[in-house]
Amino acid sequence: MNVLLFGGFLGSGKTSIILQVARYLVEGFSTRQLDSDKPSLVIIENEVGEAGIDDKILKAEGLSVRELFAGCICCTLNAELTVCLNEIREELSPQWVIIETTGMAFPHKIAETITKFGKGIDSLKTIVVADAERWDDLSMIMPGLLEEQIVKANIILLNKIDCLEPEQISDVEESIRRINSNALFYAISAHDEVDPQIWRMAVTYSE
Amino acid sequence: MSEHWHEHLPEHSHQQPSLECSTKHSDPAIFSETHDLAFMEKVTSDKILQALTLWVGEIRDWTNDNAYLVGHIKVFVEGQENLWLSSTGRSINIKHSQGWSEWSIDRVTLCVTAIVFGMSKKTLGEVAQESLQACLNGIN
Repeated sequence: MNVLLFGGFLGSGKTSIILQVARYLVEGFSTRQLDSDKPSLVIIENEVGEAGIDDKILKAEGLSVRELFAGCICCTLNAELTVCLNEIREELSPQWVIIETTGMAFPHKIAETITKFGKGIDSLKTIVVADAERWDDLSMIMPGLLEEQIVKANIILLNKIDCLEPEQISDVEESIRRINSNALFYAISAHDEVDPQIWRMAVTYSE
Repeated sequence: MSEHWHEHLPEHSHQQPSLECSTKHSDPAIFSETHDLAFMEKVTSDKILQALTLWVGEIRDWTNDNAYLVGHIKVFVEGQENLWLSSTGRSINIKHSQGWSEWSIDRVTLCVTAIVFGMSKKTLGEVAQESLQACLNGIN
């Protein structure tokens, strides 16, 4: 079971990106396992608020989604998430699991828990989405949160670059690189179709 | 256990060190509701779109005017066709299913969520609820 753990601040575009990554995985790999009707991709949605929206968007695309609601907004049901992941493995044993964390979560802390308590995980990648349009504002208002979300990411996707000029994008990239210089970095606009090569690199990346 | 300066919801506890929360941010206000809407007669999808875009715009403008920070504002209309609106306090993104534009509706499920930093849940709830009601009243 290969796990892609998506993090990033509220409104950064995680769901839009997950839709594209899911399509890439579904097209590149069979959506159903060969010998059963079990999906080979399952998405776990950890949302804030009683009315789940992201899960409905993903379900409307025909994707298999498990929801986790409520709880603490920051650590976001860390234990429940691991239990859910283990249940998915036992019931469906999919090839891919995508986890969308809340916009206030620290993905690396969730990754630590999953690594420690998750079962049957072949690979785990932490993918953090950064909002290019709001980077300057957010890094002034809540620098600690942004830094901790990004600092241990394996892959960083700087989204909404269509809202910035090229030199502004370079400035944001430099700022992000100061926080995490080890991660794979891609500047994208999920508003449009992203080059599938980026998804290929992201899902097959290994350190 | 790490230090907190916000309270956790009662059903959530951190019993193991590895599962604990260690953030030090203030919690945002959250307005999140689901409504099953039934109209007196069929309305066009465009009317629904206009009403809900107005709601997102009103919450966005009110938040910005008061110097609060938008986490995100999201709307999802669920039915035979789907509509998805979102904003982070700037432009409003609109996405919909293929047949949305030709759709007429007499019944639909509406999900709305607004997450805003810097105000109380009560204040956000009152403003968002009143604005939503006014926008929906404009449909019929």
